[in-house]
Amino acid sequence: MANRGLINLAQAGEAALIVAAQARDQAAFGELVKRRQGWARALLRRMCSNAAEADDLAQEAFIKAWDRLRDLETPAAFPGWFRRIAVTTFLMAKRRQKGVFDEIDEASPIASEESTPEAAAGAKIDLERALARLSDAERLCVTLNHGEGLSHAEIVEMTGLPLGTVKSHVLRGTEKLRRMLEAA
Amino acid sequence: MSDFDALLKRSFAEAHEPADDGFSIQVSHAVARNERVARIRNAAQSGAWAVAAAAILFGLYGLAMNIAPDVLTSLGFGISRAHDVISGPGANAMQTLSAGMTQILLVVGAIAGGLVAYRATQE
Repeated sequence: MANRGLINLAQAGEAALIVAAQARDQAAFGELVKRRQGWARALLRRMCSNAAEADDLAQEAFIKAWDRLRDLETPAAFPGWFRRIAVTTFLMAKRRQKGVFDEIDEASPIASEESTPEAAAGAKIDLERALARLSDAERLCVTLNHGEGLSHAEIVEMTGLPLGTVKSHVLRGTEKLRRMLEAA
Repeated sequence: MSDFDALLKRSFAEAHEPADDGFSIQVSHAVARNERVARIRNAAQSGAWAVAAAAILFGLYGLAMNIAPDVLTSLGFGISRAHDVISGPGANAMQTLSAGMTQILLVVGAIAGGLVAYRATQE
């Protein structure tokens, strides 16, 4: 049912949906999930490189968001606030799986394919496939840095990884992606 | 920013986002289920508190029924003696007043204990 008294879900802005969801309106939260699910699942799929696992984590993140929605101070902060929940959910899952995460020495080596200098300005890369070849930590840091536009300091704050480690993961991950593109 | 960084950012921005293949419905169902569970849990907790409060009140009632006659007697006796002391010279007023206080302190202690137990059940 789209028409619900004061708030018409289909036409309501995201801020109105968030305010209604904060008042425990499940339908408003459902509409919010419908609008944000693509972004959230894509973010987690890039971090996980496993679509089914990513969708499970996205669902877990949305449920956590519902539980904690009252903590959100302003609706405008929702994307960053939810991104943090998603990243924390991902990190907790990796820790449960005992994934090696912060050891730069154990990161997978840079691919050694013969590179052909192209990388033309208009070229596109198969992002999902390329990201899947990075280590978990590299994928996380590259996604947050290049995909979400976070600075190194923001990634440090969000993940708890040391600054040097974050920089290394971003650098190595980006370099691997560049080589993959050149070899393609 | 290098060409490659720009390409990477563009690739992220243009990357495919999964369509809603029932995902949002699934989340809505999960949220509704969690809310139902939370409501049941809250009701059970309220019920447990009510039972705990009733048990404490019943205990206090039993205690009061056992000691009330003694307390009332002692209290009457104490008041009577206090009155005598106040009206009569040369006695220790505090010592006399304390004669009936033991039972009162027992009752106060029982109520305080009951409150502590109630608080513990809440936590």
